[in-house]
Amino acid sequence: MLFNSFAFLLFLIIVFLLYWSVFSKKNTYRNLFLLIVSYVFYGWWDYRFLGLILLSTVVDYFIGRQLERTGIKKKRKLLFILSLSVNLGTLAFFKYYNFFIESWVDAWSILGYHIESYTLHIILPVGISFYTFQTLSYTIDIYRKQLKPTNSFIDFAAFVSFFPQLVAGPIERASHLLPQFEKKFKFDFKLAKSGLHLIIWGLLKKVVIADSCAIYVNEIFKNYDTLNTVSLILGSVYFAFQIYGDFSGYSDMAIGIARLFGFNLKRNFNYPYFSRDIAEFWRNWHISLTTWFRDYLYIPMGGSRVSTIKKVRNTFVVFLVSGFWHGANWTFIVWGFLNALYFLPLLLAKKNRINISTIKMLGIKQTLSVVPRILITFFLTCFAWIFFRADSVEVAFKYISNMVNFNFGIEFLGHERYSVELLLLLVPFVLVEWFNKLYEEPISRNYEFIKLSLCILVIFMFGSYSNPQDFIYFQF
Amino acid sequence: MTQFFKYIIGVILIVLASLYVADKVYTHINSVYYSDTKFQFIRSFQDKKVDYIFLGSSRVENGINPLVIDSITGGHAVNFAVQSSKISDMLLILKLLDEYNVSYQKVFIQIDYIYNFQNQYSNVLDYELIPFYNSNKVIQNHLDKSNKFNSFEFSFPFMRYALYDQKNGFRRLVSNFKKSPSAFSYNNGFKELHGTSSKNTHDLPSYIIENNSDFENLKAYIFKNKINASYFCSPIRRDTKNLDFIDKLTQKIPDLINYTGIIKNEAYFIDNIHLNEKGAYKFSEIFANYILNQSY
Repeated sequence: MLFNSFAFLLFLIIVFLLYWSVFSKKNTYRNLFLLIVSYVFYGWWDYRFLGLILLSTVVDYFIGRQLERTGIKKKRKLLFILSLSVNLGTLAFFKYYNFFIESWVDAWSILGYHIESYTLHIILPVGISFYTFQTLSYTIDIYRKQLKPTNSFIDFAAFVSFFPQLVAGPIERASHLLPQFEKKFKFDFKLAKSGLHLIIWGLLKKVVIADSCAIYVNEIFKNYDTLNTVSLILGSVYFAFQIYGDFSGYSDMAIGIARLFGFNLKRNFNYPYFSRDIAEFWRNWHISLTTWFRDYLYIPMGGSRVSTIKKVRNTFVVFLVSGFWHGANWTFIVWGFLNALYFLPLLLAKKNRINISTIKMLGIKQTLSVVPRILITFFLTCFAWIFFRADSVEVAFKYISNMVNFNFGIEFLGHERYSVELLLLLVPFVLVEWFNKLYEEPISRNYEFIKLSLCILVIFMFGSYSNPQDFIYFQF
Repeated sequence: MTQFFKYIIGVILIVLASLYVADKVYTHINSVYYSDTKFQFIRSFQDKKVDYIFLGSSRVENGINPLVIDSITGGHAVNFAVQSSKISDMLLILKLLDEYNVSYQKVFIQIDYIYNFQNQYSNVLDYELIPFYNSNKVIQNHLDKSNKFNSFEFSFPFMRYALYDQKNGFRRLVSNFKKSPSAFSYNNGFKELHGTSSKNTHDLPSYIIENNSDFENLKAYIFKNKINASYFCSPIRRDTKNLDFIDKLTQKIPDLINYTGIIKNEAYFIDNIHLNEKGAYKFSEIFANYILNQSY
């Protein structure tokens, strides 16, 4: 059930009405209802994998309680390792088993040995990387004694499977979301309205921006060997917009849907393409994953309070693991590595935290100094996205090699009559985001009724429906 | 909660009203700018008079050059063939010609392996018709019958543009504004193909169906409306599989003008069933001479 489908709209209306009219009066009923509808939502894709969510939920719930009860260090450590093993073991099997086997076989074949490959036909359960990291954060926080475990299995199960953010985040921390399941809600018009605005803005990003770009991106990446330099540059730029519209659109919708039910989720994107350097980009892109890695990997390794060499090591580890989290393909690892390389000069010059505050509205002089930095960061990101989008590292290198050979004699996608129409959509989109970058989304505040109507109209008129695309992050 | 519902209902009403306006604007632009699709080309002949009309699939659209026919016969021919047309599409075009008050002397209808297709419709034509769903009953009935669409969706304003955006949405609208005339608009409906290839893209069927209800309907319509119609079959390269299908077809349609073997030179084909521009020129000459001899 995709957020941008008619089936989901019906599902949401029914759940919303039942939630506020019948189940919201008592927390237990409310959370049980949310748990059931979340399982229905997930089971719509593949009910067979509901068992995995349940396993993760049961294991972490009971381990969390045992961690609280016991003070014995060794036992606590064992319980913690058990939780890590179950969660990461499941993730490793479903997501990385074939990758490891194939890489192992490839490695031996380079040395001249032929090893039998034992790959399996494994279906990747939707959202496994997201809910695994969410439940892991619960156990880790309890292990670190930063969080008290919940006594209610239903609350915990509802927290793990909360349908708005179950399949593609934002990855919520138990310390932020779980207490909300214990709170009593009253319908809040302002919160629900802001949720509705986020849903519509997210939907616009998905069906108007991302899905329109996808038409060109798919063609360009499929025919990269016959297209000229300009077309290939456009391909990476369009993909940058596609993945941003797709993923930030999903996150906005998830946050918006949660608000309709009275819940507040953390912001996942903060206009990342207006970042002045790559460090700022990573503070604004997929914030819930970046902060997860910061808190549970980077800081435990010493973070930035260690020697320069260790800082560099830590940075590379985080970026490589982050790349690998996205998928079992060397392309994601190279993508992570490339971002670490971009980050390195800032880290060494101790300038990775100079652009902390959001860019305010500027005068012409200041704009002229900021815009080139934004553009450089954007193009560096676009270059890295080539690896993210390509089917293999080899394809990515070929794509780049065709892009930088400055061959303008062959086919140019710009001659396609639809290319102009895509730019007609992207330019106003960038301008709207630029003038609203101090806010969560551009609809709320003045004339919101008109702006909301206009956005819905834009969704109908300029959305791409003939070739509906899955959300990219579902594959992770 | 009531306040929230009022807010949503208000927005829905505004959106519906805007969609209604957008629907009208899109339909108007589609109606005014004729040249971009084959259907709009056909529609532009409203209240006009022509001598010869050719109907069929891409084999006719790419194989009959009306300008050649005109120069030899001195008449006025148009090529109303549409890519991937089936028999039901040709019946639809005949009905539309009637609806649009197009008068003509003679219509030539190509029947080939499409005889084996029943209740099937051209993908191309159907999408071209969508903007005109509400304009007349003929189109409405045709699209309602087509299994590709849920015509219930068409009853909401603008839905037919949104759901089939790639064919009829915003991009199409902009291209209509740009008004880049399609090749067929200045070739009287003919679209030439260039090059030659030894590829066999289509085999003929190894069997022929007993009876085609669409063909029976077409014949009945022609009979009822006293249309001067002839059936023909364009050239097919000799290395095509199951060429004997045409013999089976002539048994079903005895008056079929069989031109399948009239062009033997492979250089006139772009693939085994489509003529290139030189082949089309040659075939059109042959057809024009046939028309002269028949003196319609």
